Order: sequence, then structure tokens, then C-alpha cells
Amino acid sequence: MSSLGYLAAVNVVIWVGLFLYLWLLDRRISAAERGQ
Amino acid sequence: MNHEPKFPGMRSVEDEKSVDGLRLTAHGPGSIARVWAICAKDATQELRRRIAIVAVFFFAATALALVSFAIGPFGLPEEDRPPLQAALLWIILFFAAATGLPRAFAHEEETGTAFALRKTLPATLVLAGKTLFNWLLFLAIAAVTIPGFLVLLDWRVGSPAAIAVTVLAGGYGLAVVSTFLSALSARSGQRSVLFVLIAFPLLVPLLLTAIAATLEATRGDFPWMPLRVLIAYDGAATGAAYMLAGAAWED
Amino acid sequence: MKFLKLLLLPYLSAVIAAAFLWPEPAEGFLGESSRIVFFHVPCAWTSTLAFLVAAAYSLAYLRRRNPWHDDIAAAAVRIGLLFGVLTLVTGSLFAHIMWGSWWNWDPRESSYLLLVFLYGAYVFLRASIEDPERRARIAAAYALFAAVLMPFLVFVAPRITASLHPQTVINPQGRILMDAPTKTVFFGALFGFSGLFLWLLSLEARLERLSRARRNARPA
Repeated sequence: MSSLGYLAAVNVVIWVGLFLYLWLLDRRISAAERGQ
Repeated sequence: MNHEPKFPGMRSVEDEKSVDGLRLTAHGPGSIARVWAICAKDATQELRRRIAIVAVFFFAATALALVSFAIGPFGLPEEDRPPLQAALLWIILFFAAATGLPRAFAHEEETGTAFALRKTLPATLVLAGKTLFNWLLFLAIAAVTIPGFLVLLDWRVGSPAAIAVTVLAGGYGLAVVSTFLSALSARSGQRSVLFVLIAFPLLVPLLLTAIAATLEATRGDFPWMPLRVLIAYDGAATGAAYMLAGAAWED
Repeated sequence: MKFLKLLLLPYLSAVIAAAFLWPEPAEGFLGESSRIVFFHVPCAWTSTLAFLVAAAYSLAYLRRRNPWHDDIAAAAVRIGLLFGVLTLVTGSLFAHIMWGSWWNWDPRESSYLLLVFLYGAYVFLRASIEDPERRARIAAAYALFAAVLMPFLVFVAPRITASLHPQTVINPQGRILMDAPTKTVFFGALFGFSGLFLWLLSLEARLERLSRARRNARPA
């Protein structure tokens, strides 16, 4: 695997992790908004 | 109630009937008189308290003495002088002014006169009066500092008229921006730190253009490009301050 | 809405992969360093967009006095600061590779740093005022005043001295100097970052609104 391919893979994984975090945060905020 | 106003053009809070009348004629005849009244009031207060205003001039003198002592008239090679002198002049002017400028509104809050002022005059006039005072204060600092700078640093100015225009335009922009920001930070606890934080990034473009204009004027050219930028900056700041005066200075 | 958020996952993944693998490195840049353009410029664009959104909602607040507008303005500034810092960091990485030093007071670097200070001061200004109504009003006045003077910082000050910064996007010719694949990925990244910004903005503003509601429910 080339070093550019490796960098691309690492960055995509970081992005997917960030996405999951934001997705869960969004759900928690929505739940809190319904609770009020 | 017959209450004699202390300053022509300004009326006291007790004169309740006139309050609405004043608001109605906010931009009619008499606006200039009232702007001048605010400016005169600030000048009298500052002169009466003396210590603050003396400190400003003392700061300018100290900075000037320090700079001339450190590099003297001949401490620098001939060709390096104009850029350094232009930068040093504005640094001295800016820091001397910065010790006095943020006081515009802070003083009203400290003495509790802010409330009365809010009731009697529209925000734009209060802001205009205080800007005028700050501008005059800056020009007074410049009038003291520049002759000293000419003598102590052997500053050879190619175009004195261009320097005069630059000092007028640069000082005006400095006065508008710092007066407006002084109104914003007046009610805060750590106002002097806050003022530096909010003012510095906004004033950097002004100071850079003023230094560029001073450099060109020192070399004897008329600095059209930097002066145009400076005047555009002054215009933008004036327009924004005028539109936002109410929001900055209501209770 | 939910669909668009979900779409962001494959879309930005594709943009990231393409940024590393598709376009050839640009001429005149060391090694692969030109690829930073796909991340650095969208960050700068996003932070500028955020500050403009903050100015627009500050104006809306001063007109309508709706606290929700203030929540959005405050959130936009914070997210703008995040992307502003990312712009500085990515720019610094590039400077290290191209010019051999992390920071060299290039006019574009300095003016961007001042922009970050400018909006950092907004956060301090907010923190220094207790009363929520006055905090919102003063912050809005400052954000609008800053937005009016921002062009002088971003466009004029860097012109006064010469800059080493590449003029691929902002240049006197007023054109974008890139080949076709580079352009595609570049605009794809701009679009994706803008989408990410909108999502982050809504999350941050809703959090702000929740904490405001919580403060009102339990007065100190």
C-alpha cells in the first residue's frame, strides 16, 4: 500500500469516527429537546 | 422646575419635559451644539481631574525619551531610518493615546452619570461628542510628540502636509473605533484588559496603513494609496459606529 | 435533513480519499505538499462563512431581539474560531514544508491570526458580561462592527507588504489556477466542509439554547 493510500485510509477512519460522535450527539440533543 | 443647564446645549434629567423634545430633534438643528457640549464636558472633567490627562502626556514623553535614548538620531544607518521612524512614531502615539482613549465611557459608569446621559441625549450624539474629544486628545498628543520626535530622532520629513493629513485621518479612525469599543466594554468588570483585547485586532489595519502613509510622506511622496485606504477605513468605522451606537449605549 | 446528514458520511469520505489519491501534485510545490489546498482553503472558507453567519444573525438579533438568533451567532463564532485555528495549523504545516519554518509572519498568516484574535475577543467579551440580554446586545454590536472592519484586515493589510502565500484561489487575475481534477476535488471539499459547518452550527446553537433554557428553569 502506498503512503498516500495509507494517509487517505487513516483520514477516512478519523472522519468516520467524528461522524459517529456527531451523530450520537445529535440524537442526545434531540432527546433533551423533547424532554423540555 | 427651572434648572440652569451646566453646559449650553445639554439639559439635565430633572428637566423631564425637555427629554422627549430632545429625542425628537435628535438630528435637527442643535445636534452640533450638543455634540460639542458632550466634548466640552469631557474636556472639563478630564482637565479638572488632571492626573489622567497628565499621565497620557507623561507616557508619550517617556516613550519618546526612551526611544531617542536607545537609538538616538545617529544610532541607525541612514537608509534604515525612515521605516523605523514611521513605525516608532505610531507606536508612541498609539500607546500614549491607548492610556487615555478607553476612558471615554468608563468614567460615566464609574461616576454614575451614564444613566442621566442616556436619558437626556440620543446615543449617536453621545458617541459623536466623545469621539470628538478623543480625536482632539489624540491631536494634542501628536502636537506634543511630533516636534519632540523631529528634534530628538533627526526625523527629516519630505512632505509635512502629507504627515498632517495622515495624523488627522489616522487619529480620527483611532478615536472612532476606540470610543465605540469603550462604550461596549464600559460595563464589564475587567474593562481595561477587555478593551485591549477587542481593540487591538481592529486597529492593526489602521496602524499599518498609517505607518505606510507616514513612510511615503517621510520620503517626500504624497501617499495616495495608503491615505485612500485610511479614509475608507475611517468612513467604514464611522458608518458602523453610527448605525450601532444605539445598541452599544442603551441600558 | 437526516438523509443529508447521512449523505455527508460517504460524501466527505470520498472527498478525503480523492484529495490524497486523484489529482497529480501541483507544479512548483515540494513533494505532495500542494494537497493541503483541499483542507486548508475549505477551513479558511468555512471560518469566514461562520463569521459572516455570525454577523447576519447579530443583525437579526438587534432587529428582533430573539434570543435564538443570539444563540446562533455565538455558536457560529465558536465554530468559526475552530476552523480558523485549523486554517492556521494547516497553513503552518505547509509553511514548514515549503518555506522551512513553522511561522514566518507572512502577511496572510498574520492577518488570519489577527482575525482569530478578533473573534477570540468576542468570546471574552461575552464571558465578561453577566446579564444575558446585555451580553447578547453588546456581542451583536461588536460582531457587526468587527464584520465591517474585517475586509481591511483580510484584504487590505496583506496587500501593503509582499506575501509568499500561493495565489491559487485569491489572486489579482481573479481566476482559480488549477487543473480539472484538482478543481473538482477542491470544490467538492468546499461544498462538503460547508455542509459539515451547517451541521456543527445547528448542534452548537441547539446546545446553547438548551443550556439557556436550563439556566432559566433554575434561577441562581
